[in-house]
Amino acid sequence: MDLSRRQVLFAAAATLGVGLLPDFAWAADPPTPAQPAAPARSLILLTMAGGMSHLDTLDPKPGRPVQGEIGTIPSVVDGVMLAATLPRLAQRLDRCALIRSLNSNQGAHEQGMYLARTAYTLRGTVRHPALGAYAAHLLPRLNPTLPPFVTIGGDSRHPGAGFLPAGCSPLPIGDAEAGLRHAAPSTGIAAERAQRRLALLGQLDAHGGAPEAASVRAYRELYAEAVKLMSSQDLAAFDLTQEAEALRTAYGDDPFGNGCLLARRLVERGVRTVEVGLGGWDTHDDNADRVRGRCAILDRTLPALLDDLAARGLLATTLVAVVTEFGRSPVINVRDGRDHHPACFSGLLAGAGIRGGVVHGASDEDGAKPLRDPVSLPDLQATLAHALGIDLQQVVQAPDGRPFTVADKGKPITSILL
Amino acid sequence: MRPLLLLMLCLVAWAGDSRPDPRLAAAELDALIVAELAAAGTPAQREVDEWTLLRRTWLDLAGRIPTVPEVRAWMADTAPDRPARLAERLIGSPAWNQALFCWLADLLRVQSRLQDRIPGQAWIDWLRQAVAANQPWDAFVRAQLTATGHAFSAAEQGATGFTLRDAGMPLDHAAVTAQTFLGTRIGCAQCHDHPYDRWTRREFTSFAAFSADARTEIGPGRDFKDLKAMVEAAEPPVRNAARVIGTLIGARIAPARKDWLAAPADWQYPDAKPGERIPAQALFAPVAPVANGDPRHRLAAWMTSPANERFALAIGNRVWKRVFGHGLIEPVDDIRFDPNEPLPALPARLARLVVEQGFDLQRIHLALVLTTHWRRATWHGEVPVAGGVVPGRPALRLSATAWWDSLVAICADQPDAASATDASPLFALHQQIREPAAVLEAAKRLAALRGGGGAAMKADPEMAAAAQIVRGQQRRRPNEGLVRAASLPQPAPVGHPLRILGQSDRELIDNASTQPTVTQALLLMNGLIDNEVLARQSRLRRDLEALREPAAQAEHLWLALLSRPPRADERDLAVAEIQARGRDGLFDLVWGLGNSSAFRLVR
Repeated sequence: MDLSRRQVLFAAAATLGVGLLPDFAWAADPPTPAQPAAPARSLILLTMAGGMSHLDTLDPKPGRPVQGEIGTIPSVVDGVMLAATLPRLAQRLDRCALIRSLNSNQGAHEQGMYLARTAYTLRGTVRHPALGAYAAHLLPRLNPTLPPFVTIGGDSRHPGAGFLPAGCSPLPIGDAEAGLRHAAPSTGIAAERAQRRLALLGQLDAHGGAPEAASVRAYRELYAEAVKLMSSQDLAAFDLTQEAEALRTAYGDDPFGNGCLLARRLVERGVRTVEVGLGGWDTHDDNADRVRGRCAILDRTLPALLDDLAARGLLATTLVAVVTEFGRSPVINVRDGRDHHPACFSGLLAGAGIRGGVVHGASDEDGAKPLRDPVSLPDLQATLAHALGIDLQQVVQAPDGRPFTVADKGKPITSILL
Repeated sequence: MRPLLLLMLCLVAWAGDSRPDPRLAAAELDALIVAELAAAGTPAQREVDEWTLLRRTWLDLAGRIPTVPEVRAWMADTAPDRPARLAERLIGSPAWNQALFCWLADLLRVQSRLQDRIPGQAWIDWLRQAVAANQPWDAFVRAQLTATGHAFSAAEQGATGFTLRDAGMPLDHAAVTAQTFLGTRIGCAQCHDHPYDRWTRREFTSFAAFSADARTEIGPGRDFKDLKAMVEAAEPPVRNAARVIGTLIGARIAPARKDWLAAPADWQYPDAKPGERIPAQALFAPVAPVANGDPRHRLAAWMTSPANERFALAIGNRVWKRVFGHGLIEPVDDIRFDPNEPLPALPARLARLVVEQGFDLQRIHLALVLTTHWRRATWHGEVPVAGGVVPGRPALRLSATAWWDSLVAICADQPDAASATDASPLFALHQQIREPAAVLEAAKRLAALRGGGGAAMKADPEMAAAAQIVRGQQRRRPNEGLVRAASLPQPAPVGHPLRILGQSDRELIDNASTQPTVTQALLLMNGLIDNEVLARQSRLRRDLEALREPAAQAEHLWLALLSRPPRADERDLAVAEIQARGRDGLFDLVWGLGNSSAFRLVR
């Protein structure tokens, strides 16, 4: 579309017999950055569900009444403070890019998280793909048997593949510690008999004779994926007991810690996108206590993940992102809580393709609104997609013919990209 | 002749009830449906065969497929009106109660453990009771909107669950209330005028002002002011247990007094100034009644008034989707009609059905399943994304609940057995504890159970029962086998087959999913069929082993899984498989049908 607009403009200029004046330029559209030379191979998306309080984590306001009881601490990056809830992360901020000017117009959880995951507004008429599904659809598969998109501990209604083929939908893992269950035929069922069963299933389905509904097709695709997965050489990825006890302790023996450790084992084997959820951020009451509780987990696991990825040389190829659906209000309510605040919040990126130790954007003195360089959730999505090497201009058609683009015309944040 | 027959039926069947015969509404709806399809140029599908209709009837109304004896009873019934009679018999049956509970629990976001350690069991009990008693929808909604007082003081207090579910979030609760009961999404307008719908921030605030002042409390309150010091002196396990007990005796809703909300500091429109009082006001006509006292009663009276067409349409449309597979309006909770304009004919008739049947969910369902439209054949074409009439029944994957409950019907001896758990141990505790020392005493008992094993539970069975409920677990009967989704913890724990199949996590309204995943395929190929359906105690396995003849086994198998006898070619295939491979062949047929698309779909 950009191209055709330029062509129109050039044609207009030629017809009018004038040159292109500087103020006639498309200054409003910053040039799309060139595709990264070495795109990230994988993305680990950490979704803080419920709306993470920016003031009490990544964007504290020392000395302001809105800050409440959680204090602030310096980080290893000169002049950048974090909330006192994240001391270990503060020691690793030189590897991370902070975004302090995120904003959204979606103040409800479902709509907010849908926008964060898909870059589109939740509508009744179409289900948009999550970024991980687009990556599965548009990028080459790195591991022939493991699914390209895995979600760990997510909610029950993830947008998943959206309108893309069922093969792009995430493999949901409910409990990382239990791993992938049912990946081998039941006890006593030899390989030969498992084959026989599949053949029989084919015969029984063929006998149905009914026209093939879309839902029938989708399941056939997924049964094929499941059979492929059962034969995978990489099923051991799902077995956390193969990790050293010390490392497991470092990640934390809780669903999020185990989930992040599993995420590392999966990206190590070529899974493109792994999403790990950490809920409980909806701190309408006892905000300080509850945020401390969440951060005790986040500040143990995220640093452990970054250290582990770095030690294995995977941080250069893996992009790690911390996202949430909205922030929380500067005003502390009568229940010592903070309410939803989509007008301003924070996110964090680290690893492949990301400039460390930088802060993009800033919020005003109370963290109520972005002060400069506002970033939308589609912009954030565009940044992640761009870092993965996805072409943001490419049009993907839904089955009904409607055109969509990854990140819905969001603009990558060039200042934090390498 | 037909109208006359209809009239006679009305007189016989519904004498003594002032509500019109649901058949009349069914006929009128059919006429409107046919007109709508004709206008769209997509003729209605023919009527479906009776085998498909049998399975559809059970899945839609009982939430599961029929058992083999239930299919055989149908085969033995030769009366021409057997489909209608089956529908009438299933509506209100124990099987129906289980299915309706799950449907409502998804809508209301019912959880065994609500936030802040509040147990959900009292709400679950209340909901079960409301379903079993067929409480009219308007009364059901009013009770929950106006619930006041302690959650665990008596069984009828379970209605507090709806508000306690959103404890501490009065504005979100207002948005949830509108979405749940009015099918209207106003949540966006909490912070700014709705970008795609009509609602302004002022309208949202006025609506929330009815209920925002009804404070949810989760601590034991003023009478227990010495408790804090006593608890702080105790050991950590007792301290934690004291919080649990404190919630049990403390969780409550205080009546609302204010019927206004102050405009927040970030108000950005000229229609109010920050701090200005915005009075409670209904979202649309009719106006809310004026009365003193708790303004939630005015809200409930307005919302559930027979004159409030949106309220009737919202539940009517939900039932429509449940029965026809696709809402007249989609998503079902995003109704966008201008509330000041008359509704189009079909939605208007649907709303009128709800009101004329006295908000009776059973009779609303009955009217819809008595339409010819409900008996139409499967539709494989497109469905209107924003809702509307589909020419036939869209072929849909079974919901997670129906899928699981159908497996229960295959495996269990009594698939519709009611849950063995209720909240009475919590009510007993609430009665006993009147002072801080008693809280501490109970906390010590609760803490003693932790790590005490079976002996500790035997020594204090009352507290053990309470502790089980607090943890969100369900009591199991000896040798109970599989139980339906309604009798499991709400929702089932992560990793349970129900969750893998897409059961709602109950975090959001109607949050169940029918998306296919690899995990589901693995579960069905390598777990569920072998471990449950073919388990030694499974009813299907016992029945199959009691039958000796391969042909009889084949017939039983098809009746049990697909609710119809096998066709000749299917029977030949099955008999050959059993003759060639014996029990392995038989069991592999079970596996094959359990994994087949015919089992997975409701047509």
